[in-house]
Amino acid sequence: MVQIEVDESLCKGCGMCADVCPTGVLEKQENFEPTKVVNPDDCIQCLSCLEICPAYAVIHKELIPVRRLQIETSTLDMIKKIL
Amino acid sequence: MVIKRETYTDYEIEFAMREKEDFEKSMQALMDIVGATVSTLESVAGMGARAMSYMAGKNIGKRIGRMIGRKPDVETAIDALTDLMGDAWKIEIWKPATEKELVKKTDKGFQCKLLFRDCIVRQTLEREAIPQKGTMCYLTNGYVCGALEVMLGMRGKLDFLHSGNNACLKDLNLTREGV
Repeated sequence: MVQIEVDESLCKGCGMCADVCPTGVLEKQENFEPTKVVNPDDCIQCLSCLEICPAYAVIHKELIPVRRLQIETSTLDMIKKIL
Repeated sequence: MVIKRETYTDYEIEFAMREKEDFEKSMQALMDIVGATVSTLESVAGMGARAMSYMAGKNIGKRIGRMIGRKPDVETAIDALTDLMGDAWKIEIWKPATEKELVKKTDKGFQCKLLFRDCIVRQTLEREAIPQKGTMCYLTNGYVCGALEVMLGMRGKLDFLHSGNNACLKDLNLTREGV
């Protein structure tokens, strides 16, 4: 099961991740305090919070990524070499 | 018990790899064609393109539903549909942790939330840089609704709740009205 965390040293408290989350996993705090994970069991792993976060503060552990059949094998091989 | 180890020759491995690459290339070419067709359809037909793709999806879905046959409940129908769709779509019924039932009974039928994990439409959209919740997503909605309508003998309606890069959440309403 996925574990979601917010890196408090990076989070600016803008709350965009909380706004975009469809299941209320994240909660925006007042006075730009770092966002809190309030409902981790409901995370559907859509990764919208990860995409919208300007500070890359949202971390997903044990994530199940979907198939990426749209990416060509040659491109994937190239990415693997770079990584 | 003796376990027989399967061995493959270099030729067989190379042939299998080439077949996989050919399949991927053909599928990606098809993604490009469908993406281009859909974006052109949107520019020509406007919002009507969504209705067209929804009906097209529904027709395919109904055919798939007839192939699968009648199912007693929503869970079984979704499982049968996901099994048949293979790599193209992976659908699950989802509920918040606080709720007890996956499928809720309503006055007119049933209501549940569907979580789309693997989705060939989303992948096509990503490849072609087309936004989600558009014409092609209506094709998926029509497809799933059409199949479920035939399998369960009910009227279906699938609404968008959220579209993400790794999963989409949709609201399914099944009613016995107008069957």
